[in-house]
Amino acid sequence: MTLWDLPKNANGRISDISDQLDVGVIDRLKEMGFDIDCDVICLRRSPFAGPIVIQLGDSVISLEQDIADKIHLHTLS
Amino acid sequence: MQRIILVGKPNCGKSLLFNQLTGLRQKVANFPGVTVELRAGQFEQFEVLDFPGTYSLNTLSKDEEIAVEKINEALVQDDTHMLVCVLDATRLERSLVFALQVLALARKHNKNIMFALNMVDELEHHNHHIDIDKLSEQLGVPVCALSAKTLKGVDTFKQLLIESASAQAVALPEPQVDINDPVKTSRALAKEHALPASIVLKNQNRIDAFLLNNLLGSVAFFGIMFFLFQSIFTWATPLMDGVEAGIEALAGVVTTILPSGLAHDFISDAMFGGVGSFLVFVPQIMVLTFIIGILEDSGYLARAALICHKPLSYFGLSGRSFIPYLSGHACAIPAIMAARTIESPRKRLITMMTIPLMSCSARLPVYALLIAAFIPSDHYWLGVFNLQGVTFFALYMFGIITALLVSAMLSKMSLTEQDKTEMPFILELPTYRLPHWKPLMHRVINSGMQFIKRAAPVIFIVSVVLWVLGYFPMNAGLEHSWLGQFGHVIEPVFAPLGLDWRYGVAMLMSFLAREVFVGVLGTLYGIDGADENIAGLAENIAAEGMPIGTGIGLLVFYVVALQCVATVATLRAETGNGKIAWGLYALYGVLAYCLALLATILI
Ligand SMILES: Nc1nc2c(ncn2[C@@H]2O[C@H](COP(=O)(O)OP(=O)(O)O)[C@@H](O)[C@H]2O)c(=O)[nH]1
Repeated sequence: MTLWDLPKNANGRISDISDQLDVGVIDRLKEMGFDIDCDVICLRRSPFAGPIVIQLGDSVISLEQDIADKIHLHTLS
Repeated sequence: MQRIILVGKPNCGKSLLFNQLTGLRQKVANFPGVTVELRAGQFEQFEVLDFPGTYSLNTLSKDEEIAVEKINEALVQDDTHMLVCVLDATRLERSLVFALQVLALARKHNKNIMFALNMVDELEHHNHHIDIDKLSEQLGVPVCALSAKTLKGVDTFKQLLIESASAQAVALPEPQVDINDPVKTSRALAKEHALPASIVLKNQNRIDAFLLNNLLGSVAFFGIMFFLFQSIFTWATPLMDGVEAGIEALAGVVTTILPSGLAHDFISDAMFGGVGSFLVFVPQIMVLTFIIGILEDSGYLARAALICHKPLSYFGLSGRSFIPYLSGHACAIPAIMAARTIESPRKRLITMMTIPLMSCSARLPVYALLIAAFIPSDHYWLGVFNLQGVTFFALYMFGIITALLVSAMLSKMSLTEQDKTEMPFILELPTYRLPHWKPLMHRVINSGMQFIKRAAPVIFIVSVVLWVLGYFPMNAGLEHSWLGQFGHVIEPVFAPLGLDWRYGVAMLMSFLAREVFVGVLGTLYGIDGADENIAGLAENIAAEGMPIGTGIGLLVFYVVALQCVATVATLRAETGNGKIAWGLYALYGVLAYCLALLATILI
């Protein structure tokens, strides 16, 4: 499951960030708090596959599909 | 002069702190083609430099790269005595990531550094207290808690700043934490000191639940955009009229002093008529800057970008292109300047290049004239819609659709060296905050000044050249002037469109501003004050019985052609590339001509 699949108001925990993303982008994501085992909450999903809004640590961040579907989440047990 | 440099993440309140430190006199340095702005002001015996907010020292876009390069440049200079990194106390973890990177840099260059922990008023509101002494000890940096808004702690901060900045030796104790792994260290420190995220984000999430709601949020979005659009028209109009009246009054005074003759005509027509008329844009630019400033500082701009992101991304544009596009319907100049808020350099360029296709208010008189002259007023489309109204609407839509198509095309091409990098859409949504008037005021004044400084030379040259061409040989009248003669020579160019030399001359002259077309045509038809008497001129044109295809062709020409010297000048200044500006002028000219020709032939 990826961050993109997270339904509205659901929680998830990051398991991996795909190295398909540009190194610069991965570094930026890490600096923004995207790190393994960090918790995220999905705050908003937009119609027509628009960007999602998530809460991560002390920030609220909006991401488009291209990036969100490269961030993997632990499957919920 | 000894220098203090101010850095920080966007939205940490750095602009406000800068304004609280430095007072009224500020200098702004711009770097063409990028949105990087360096502000300089004076604080006691020091020069304070405000660097653009950056998220990280590891850069993703050209703008960030230049901003970081400037920081590095400043760091190696001996004049730089001190770095101040501004942190948002309510977002300690995120702020610290950047602050630790800066700290490492300062240590490397052996510069004094201090952290300004801003927004403590909000912490107090939540009854939270950060142990500043401990944090300072852990980091090995003096930390000052303050609020740039309520000014709490600012006096202590100033004192400490003066002391440290005047100190000869650099004394930074070893940090107790690992500053080379900013992400981990920030997380640990935030866990120890920061206000829990659930409290910080509570209000913000509550407002977002409304403003980002699919239904209510859309209503709010359209409401805000409608307000913005209205304001550039209605608020700016009295100001513009005021400027116009002021220039006219001044022109009246100056021209009565001057004896009639060459100098008199030059001053009154070329100077006050040509150059003066571009000052009229200044209020509009300032009003738009003001509203966008409010939207940006309050935090709504990021939400608007998010809402518009998806639909505009199909055309290679950013969500932030929406406001510039919308503003372009009032006037392309403030719209192009508003494109600065677009973070992706490439999308910013594409947006700026397509804004001139929006039907701005200067086209209105031209549309009104041509529609009255060519489109019958008593015809109804589908039996209900008046054909003139339909044509008006169609022209606006035609402009928007052309802009989107051109954007889509441009986004497939590589335009210039610097916009190859693409910024991915990762947007941090800032806390909603009440904007403060101080930074806003500086921004508004600066936007007007910048426009004047950068566009005036080009506009001056073009108005003088057009004036000379239309004035000489003396007393010959427009028809026999050099411009008129030139119009006759190039008549064959306009002939396929069904137009004679008069239209050629009017179209050439309208490069000064599109509405000039009406006035010049009026002169050539022998109607004085055609600007005020559009209907009379339209009757005269209609009486000549030109085919409707010619009229549609002309309309199409005015939708597409970049007939506005002030826009070209602004494009040149904002892209930092004269080739793009003049190339665009030529390209839109050719495209407009071809489309007009097509319309003439087909209809
Ligand atoms: N409550 C509060 N708001 C602040 C403070 N400092 C700045 N702000 C507000 O935070 C917003 C962002 O500030 P700004 O100076 O534009 O941040 P910059 O992006 O770092 O330049 C503005 O609306 C400011 O009015 C502060 O100390 N307390």
